[in-house]
Amino acid sequence: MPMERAGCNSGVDQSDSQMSAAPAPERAVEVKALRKAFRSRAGKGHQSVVAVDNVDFTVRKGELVVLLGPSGCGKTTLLRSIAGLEKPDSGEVAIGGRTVFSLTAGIYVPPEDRRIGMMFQSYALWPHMTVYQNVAYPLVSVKGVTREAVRAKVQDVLAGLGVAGLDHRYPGELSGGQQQRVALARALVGSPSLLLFDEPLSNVDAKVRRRLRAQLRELKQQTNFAGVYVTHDQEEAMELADTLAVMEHGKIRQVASSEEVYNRPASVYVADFVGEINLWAAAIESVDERAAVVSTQFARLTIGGVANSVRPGTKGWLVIRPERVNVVPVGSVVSYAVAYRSRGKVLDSIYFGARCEIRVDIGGTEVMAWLSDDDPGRTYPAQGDEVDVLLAEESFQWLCE
Amino acid sequence: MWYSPFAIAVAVLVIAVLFIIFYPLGIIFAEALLPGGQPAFDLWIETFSAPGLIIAVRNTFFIAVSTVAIAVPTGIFFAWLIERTDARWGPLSRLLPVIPLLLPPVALSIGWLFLADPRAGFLTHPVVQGIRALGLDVDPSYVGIQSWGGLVFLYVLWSVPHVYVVAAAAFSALDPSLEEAARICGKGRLKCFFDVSVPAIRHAVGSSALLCVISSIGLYSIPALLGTAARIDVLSVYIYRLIHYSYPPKTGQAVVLGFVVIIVIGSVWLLQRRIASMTGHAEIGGMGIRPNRLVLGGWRWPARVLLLLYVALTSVLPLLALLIVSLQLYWKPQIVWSELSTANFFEFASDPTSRAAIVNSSILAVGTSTTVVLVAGLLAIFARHVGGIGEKWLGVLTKVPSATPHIIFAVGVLIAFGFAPFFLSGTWFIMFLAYLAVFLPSASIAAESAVQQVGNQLTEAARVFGSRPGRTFRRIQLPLIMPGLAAGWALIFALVVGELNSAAILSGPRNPVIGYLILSLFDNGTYSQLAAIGTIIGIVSAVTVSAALLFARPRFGQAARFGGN
Repeated sequence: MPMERAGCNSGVDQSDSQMSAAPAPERAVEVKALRKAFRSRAGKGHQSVVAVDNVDFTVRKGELVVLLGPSGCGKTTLLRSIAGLEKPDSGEVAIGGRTVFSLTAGIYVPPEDRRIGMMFQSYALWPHMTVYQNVAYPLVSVKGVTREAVRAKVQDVLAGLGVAGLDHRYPGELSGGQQQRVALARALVGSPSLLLFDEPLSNVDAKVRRRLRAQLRELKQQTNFAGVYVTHDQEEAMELADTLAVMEHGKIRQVASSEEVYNRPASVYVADFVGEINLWAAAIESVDERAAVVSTQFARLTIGGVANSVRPGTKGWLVIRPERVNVVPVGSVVSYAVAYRSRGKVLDSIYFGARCEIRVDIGGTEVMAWLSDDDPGRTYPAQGDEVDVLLAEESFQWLCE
Repeated sequence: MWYSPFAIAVAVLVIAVLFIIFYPLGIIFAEALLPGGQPAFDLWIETFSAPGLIIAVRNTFFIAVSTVAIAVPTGIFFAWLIERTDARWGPLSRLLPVIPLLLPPVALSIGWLFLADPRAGFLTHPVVQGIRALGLDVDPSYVGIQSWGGLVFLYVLWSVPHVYVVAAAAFSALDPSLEEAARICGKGRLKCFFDVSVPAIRHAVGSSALLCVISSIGLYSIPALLGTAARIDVLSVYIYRLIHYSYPPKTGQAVVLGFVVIIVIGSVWLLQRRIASMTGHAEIGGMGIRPNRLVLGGWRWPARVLLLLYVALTSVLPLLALLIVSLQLYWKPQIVWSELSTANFFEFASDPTSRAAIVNSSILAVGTSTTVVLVAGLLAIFARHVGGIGEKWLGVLTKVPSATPHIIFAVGVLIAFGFAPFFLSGTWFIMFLAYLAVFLPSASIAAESAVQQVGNQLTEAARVFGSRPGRTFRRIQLPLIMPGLAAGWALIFALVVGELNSAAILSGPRNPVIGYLILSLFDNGTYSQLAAIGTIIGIVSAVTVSAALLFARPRFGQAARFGGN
């Protein structure tokens, strides 16, 4: 990996510098060189699947980091390793400055001693205990806490989440949304220094999910907890994250704010995973101070944001977000500078309410464009229409891999 | 965690259990190969040149093969009917093929003895008349239960539920779209069954066939009670005779034969486990599927009648026969209603040995069930916690006793614990030890399945929230697996109450249990008292097992919220 980057600087800030600036006690979680492989018995023979591949990862105090990636990318394994539910093969994990796992030092602190809160995908509410018993459970094992104090804290937390009064019910009697909030209450009641979320919203309908996400966001703003949140839902990730960490095949591909990850993705994988992207294979023809000339199958374009050190002839990818692609009626005049203009035919036009997704064929190449309703009188192009596709210079991005 | 008091207690338990299981087996191996420290050539020659042995082995083989050939297809067919077609009516119908398990094999045998004995059976006369009316002349002793046909018939009746349970579980985990795809391609229902359903569960089929073989070889009560009159000697009865009908007891030969049987069955058992483990994980994705049941149309009621007939033959009729004979003064095929009385029960209650037997059996049953179920629960939870290879080995070790016919294991227990240095022969404790080992596999299966259903997340949540292993076990795991354990408890209770195989070897006048009582009543020919005890066992078993099955249903809301992944 390092070899490729030296010859091909896409100019993206890796954001590693941000992490190393924070002093140790400010870090809620610090993971170093973590590696975990599973032996699978799939098919004949025993194969090793590396779930977490030498990952370095930090969470600052008050920061909610979202681990985003498809199934099998290792995000859940990483989360569980932090919780202590998986024992890594090597590396180090420290929570709040205290080492809880280190292979070299022979340290492994079991989950019950890590003092964290966790929300499970299936909520994991104990069905034979009442809501009160469920939420009180983490407090009951703490020494020196009186019954009254426990009761007060539990009522407090439940009320704060809008589920007061359900004390005597059983989880089986609650709705999905209520169960979710009780599970969250249980995670919060011990005032843990770290909260872990294992895809807690994946079993819930879309509308309920939205509401619960909003509630989580509000909670984060109020209590400013430090946390790690795992999800495969890109929208959810962007809504909740202070920092977004995109994972693939056991490695973290990019760690940055949502805005940074979306607008300046570090790789094609990240660009494609977070949001939609138009992507074309391309090669550098020439580079100078200001811009580079890039050729793709359908055009030669001049774009910015390519570092000087990139040599002509380097192969890579040209990407542009669909919402940056402008589609106008044939022959219209526009007021901004255009890097590329071409006539095309609309292959498909899908109406989504807030936007319209269009696929246009420009001389054999397909371009995806998202149009939104900024002009009340405007009608969207329909399938078969002829249109002009406009691509602005600054909307492009060059990516190496 | 490794040095917590909880872990130490579990470790001690594991060692104790392993000792109880492997010491008797080890003794058998040692005594068979090197009795008194010397290689046992003479003993082996003596054993294998005994005249009755080859006949017993041949008979056992024949019966085992016939049983498997009939019971496995029948069990699979029933499982398919209940799980995959609309022959099923209501959730209770799932229990239908399992009902025969309510009746211990000993009660089944005695009941059928009363029903189909060539001379005095209730059904024999009407059936023979019926056949004669069709123009065929038949000798009653061919139709009677003490014949090859009768014996295999009973073996099959008793084996089918065991096959059914495995096949039904496999079918219910099957993705229904497999069959739907076949139907859409135009396959008829029966073709669908043979082409798609059966191959899809072939591992379950294979493993249940092997289990059938194992249990047929080891079964003692049916051939003991019915085979002797038919002059059909099988291996288990042969071994029993070596100990009880020879003076001095030919324990050496019994041990040698036991050793050989263990090796043979052990290999079959390992093969069975390998095949069973080749079944993939449950093929259902998502939160649960409502399988589309195959519509049988006009075949629906015939199928249901078939199932009901099966239940009648295995449970209802024998129990009725037992009840009637128990109310007669002496067993005779004509029922004279005015003569029926409960005199037998009173006579029974007044006999000190009978009373002792019932009390002993009840206490033993309660003690064994409770202990073995708690031990199995603890081991299952511990195994799940350890995970990986430890879990696998623990799973295998707790099942080893099922690879040994109970009667042979009892011989091992007798030799291991009965004399020096333990001197437990003739006590109830030796029976307790034998039962503990012998019923651990069943309890473990129930416990492991319960632990499996609870899933991992509920336990992980407890750990994350600060709960030590001991507290997690007490407050989270044990309460959640209780329903499954309770089902296991009741099943084992019923099994111990009617247990004959180990009782035949280990129980005697000093420590009588019901099994011993039954054998003596049978030997003495006091059939009406035999019927009385058979009825009592039948009813007690039926009630406890039904209660268990009801109790074992998930109680805490939808199963979907039971810890998930």
